[in-house]
Amino acid sequence: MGTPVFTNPSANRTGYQNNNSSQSSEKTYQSEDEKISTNSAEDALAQLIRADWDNFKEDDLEYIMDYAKDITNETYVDRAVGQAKRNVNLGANSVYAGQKKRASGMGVDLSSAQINDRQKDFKRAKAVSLAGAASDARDSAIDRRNKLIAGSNISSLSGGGS
Amino acid sequence: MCSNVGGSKPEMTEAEKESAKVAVEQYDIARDLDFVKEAYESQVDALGSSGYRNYARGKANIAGMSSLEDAAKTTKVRQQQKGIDPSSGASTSEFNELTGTGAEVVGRGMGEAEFSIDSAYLGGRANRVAMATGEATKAQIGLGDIADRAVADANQDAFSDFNSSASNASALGTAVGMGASYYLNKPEG
Repeated sequence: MGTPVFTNPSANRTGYQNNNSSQSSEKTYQSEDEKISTNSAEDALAQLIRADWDNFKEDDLEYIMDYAKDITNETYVDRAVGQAKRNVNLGANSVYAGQKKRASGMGVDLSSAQINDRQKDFKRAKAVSLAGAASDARDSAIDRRNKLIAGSNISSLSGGGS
Repeated sequence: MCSNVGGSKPEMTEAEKESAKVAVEQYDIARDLDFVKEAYESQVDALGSSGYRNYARGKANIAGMSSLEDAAKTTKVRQQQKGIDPSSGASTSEFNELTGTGAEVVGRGMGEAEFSIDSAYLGGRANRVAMATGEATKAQIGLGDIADRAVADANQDAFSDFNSSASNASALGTAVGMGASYYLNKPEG
């Protein structure tokens, strides 16, 4: 890997020259993964920049691209709306069922007209609730998405090497 | 120190050579610490799992239903004290109002709980991206702290949002209070 740099005896105080003169396969500058392996300090820094970048591409790039895709498309907006609707439905159904049980426990005896009225009221309330929750969820999810896009580090895709 | 004679390349100083050596060591340490980044990533992935969302939604459901039950008990006792017939219009209207508010609070509470977990998950992924796009070698040396803090922040955010939405259940008290005072002060027809 190039001419050894530490041939000058005055450089001996660092002890680096011994490695060069012994012709060992171990280089002066060698990382454990052997992505950096040289006897030249300058080459070592160049190899380090390359190794950092390669590691970044190997370990991080796919993650970043997936994240970028997820926060710029409609996935999490649609998901929030779906969650809101499903939960309002579930919440309403379980609360209405609870009320029916409670009323029967209290000995409430409603006429069929009252029962019909109440069911209509509940349906109306649920429809309003569903629309409101879906709209709020969409607004919040868009707001969240904008914040993530603004706050993410996608634009400074500098990778490794500092 | 410089031996730039005859246009040859200047030799690196001892300090520069030592810096290169340290840089390689830092690189090795950073690689050794890669597992922290991976550990953080798997914690973030867990936040994105349906299990975590279901857990948060379940917690919100229990909190909302329990507040609703408390409000219903209070209303029932109040009506009994006033001698209101449970089948009367005054009683059923009040309970209908309570049910409507309860349905809204419980449903919204669960939705917000799920939303908060998703937000924490996305925030965690943003942190993971920041780890990758930061100064890779140097940043990873301090990753242990960064990862711990980020996870704590993510959980804190998720659960403080969740708790504030769960505290929406206090809206039940307001609705019932208003309904109760209206119906209970209304002359019996």
